[in-house]
Amino acid sequence: MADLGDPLRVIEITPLELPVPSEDDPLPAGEPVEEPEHVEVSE
Amino acid sequence: MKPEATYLDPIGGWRAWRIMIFLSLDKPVSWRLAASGTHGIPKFWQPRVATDAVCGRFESTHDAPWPACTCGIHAYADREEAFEQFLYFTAVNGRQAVGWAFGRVSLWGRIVEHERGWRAEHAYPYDLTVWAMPHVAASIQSMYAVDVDARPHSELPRVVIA
Repeated sequence: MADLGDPLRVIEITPLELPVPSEDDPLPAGEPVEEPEHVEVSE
Repeated sequence: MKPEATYLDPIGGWRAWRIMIFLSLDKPVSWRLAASGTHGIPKFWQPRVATDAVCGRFESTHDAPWPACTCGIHAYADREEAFEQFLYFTAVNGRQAVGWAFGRVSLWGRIVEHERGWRAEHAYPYDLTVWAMPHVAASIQSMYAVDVDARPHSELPRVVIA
């Protein structure tokens, strides 16, 4: 358990934009891109 | 209890995570950030969703974090102090992890501010140094969509607990 010392006060933080990436967000810079999976397409 | 102040910008704290294997009934085996201590609640931090604090005490009847409790998502204000705690956790809980992560975490919601850090209602990792196999570090980076400085597991700093 972290020893954070004595509690001082309670605050509230309501960010305009949540600091959580969505499923649509691109990967971070430097992330290697894997080859797309090959799919057989019948004509 | 009403908050004494309200802010718009998330707090940036420092903390550690274990990296653990995660089994799913309908998905391939993957890895997750997890609480660094064995009593951390919640244990697993899921990718791309906020981690929400809960009080893990059996007799608990309150929101988390609660001022008079120890619940909430913990983070230090000072990097060096957080790193000392990280080293302690790696020494006592090292066998239960496939890797370790240390870095900054965004905190928001209701926050109990302490002398040396915070207990938060919501959190998400901001950037990480990861000591693990390369494919595990790459998986953590892509799943959580955060910047990762990948280091070999063999370079994990070690301390001996007397």
